[in-house]
Amino acid sequence: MIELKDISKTFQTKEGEVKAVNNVNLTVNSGEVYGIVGFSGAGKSTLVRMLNGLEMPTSGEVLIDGTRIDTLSGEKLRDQRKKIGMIFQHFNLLWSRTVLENIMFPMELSGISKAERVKKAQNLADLVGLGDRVHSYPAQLSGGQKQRVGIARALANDPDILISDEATSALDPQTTDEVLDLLEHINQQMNLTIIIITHEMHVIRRLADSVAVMEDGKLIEKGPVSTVFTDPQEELTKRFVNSEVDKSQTPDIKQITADLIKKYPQGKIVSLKFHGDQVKLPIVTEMIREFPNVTMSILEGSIHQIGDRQSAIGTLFVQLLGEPKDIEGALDFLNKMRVETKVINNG
Amino acid sequence: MGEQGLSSYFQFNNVNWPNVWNAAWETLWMTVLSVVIVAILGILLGLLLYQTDGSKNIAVKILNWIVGFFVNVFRSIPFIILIVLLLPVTQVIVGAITGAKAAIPSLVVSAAPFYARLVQIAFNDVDSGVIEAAYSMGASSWQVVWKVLIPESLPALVSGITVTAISLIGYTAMAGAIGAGGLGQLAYTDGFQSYNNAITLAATVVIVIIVFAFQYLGDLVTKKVDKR
Repeated sequence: MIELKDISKTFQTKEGEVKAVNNVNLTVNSGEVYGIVGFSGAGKSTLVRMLNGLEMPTSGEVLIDGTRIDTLSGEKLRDQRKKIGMIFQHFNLLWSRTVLENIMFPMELSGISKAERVKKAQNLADLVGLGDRVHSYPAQLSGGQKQRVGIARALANDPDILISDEATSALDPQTTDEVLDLLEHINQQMNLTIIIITHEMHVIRRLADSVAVMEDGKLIEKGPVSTVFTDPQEELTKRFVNSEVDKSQTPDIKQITADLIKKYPQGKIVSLKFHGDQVKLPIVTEMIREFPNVTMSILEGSIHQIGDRQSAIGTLFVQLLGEPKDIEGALDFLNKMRVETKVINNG
Repeated sequence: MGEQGLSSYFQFNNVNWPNVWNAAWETLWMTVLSVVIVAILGILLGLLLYQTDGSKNIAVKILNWIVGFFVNVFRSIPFIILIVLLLPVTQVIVGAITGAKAAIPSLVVSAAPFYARLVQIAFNDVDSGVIEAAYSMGASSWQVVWKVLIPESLPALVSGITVTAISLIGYTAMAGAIGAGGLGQLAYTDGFQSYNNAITLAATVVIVIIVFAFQYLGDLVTKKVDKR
């Protein structure tokens, strides 16, 4: 279990003091995948670097399985670091070493015998799907392959914790998915605690059990992913969640919406949000049966599973045409069915 | 005294070839020995400059300043003056002030600070993310130096020592003019002072060949170790 208690970190700069982390409290259970989301400069990287002592807090306590990390130094700190694997946005591989030698690197630091290093590195290369590329140099690999090497290297010393610092941010969407699959597989197979920092909400949705949102060094919201996604409290959290589920702002949809508004200026553009089991109910059909004089055009629709895969969010963008009182009635009906409605354009 | 026209360059019957080979051999070993010492000293000094740079500790800051100051001073002194300046030091260290051996201290003192700066630049160019990654895996500072800093900057270290070696060859010739032996002395005493231009030309050609050989070898090794 990881416990961060009242953590603050202040940097001295020429412009004065900067509070990179401000009084953060966080508990991560063993085996959990914990996402920390926020824009760059929010303090996420500084915060997670306190877990392996790359940064030391100005005040507060960092505990891993009851051991204070923030008071360790020298060999004790180095031994502690060997129990925590870390992967990076820019992979941070040694270009002077082959794939196999890169994976062996942490084991060299731990003084593991050469024969054992080679054997284990080969196994890890197989695990991440690079068994046939062990003698390649990083320069010969694609971004996704480099990150796989990074993951294999991070696992070389059998860590209890894996820290992922924007590990997919430099990758294209498909490669990102492959890397996330791999991380999911590792989490399940090795029962590893994984801390993920990212600014991409879909990474959290795919992988994390819990999520914490950081802004200006403060932890502004935290909780199980399903709760935070369906019922975000803070403005920033809503923005992150919407960036993931709300597709209404893509150029295509904007264009079609504008066309429809021009064609039917009296129509109402409405977004409907369905939570949990609502996504499986024929709510829209019932609404149309109830209000047969309302005409509906669908602009965009999507559905996302969240976190534990038990929960889901559906969104639907529609244009409603008809008598104002019928439209009002239809919206009332939806509200009664507890569908979240938001009028985007009043016509 | 020979003819001093342009044709004088080609009066090769005036050239004592065994003398040329001896001088080439002296130049070569003066260069190789000083390159080896410069490489070791330069990497140590460069490492010291790199590690002490940007520290907030006041003692470390002063150390960085002192080392940086000496590096800059010795880099600024023209070699021909440095040799003369270091004569008493050479006398103490080597026990002589002429001959190839006596040239080594001033060659090292002039080239090591230059190479130290190149080493510092090479270390600064190593990706800080890779260094952080090594620390995150529990590497000690020495492990980072041996396993990350030096291997990851090796192409720059090798091309740096190549450049240094080539300027050292130039320095050996200057040292030769005041009695260190080698091709410089040959060109100066047997060539210039004896009005024997063919010897000067022979010495020049051999030195150019040596420079080219060093450059070729350096480029070859740089290419070989660069896996980027």
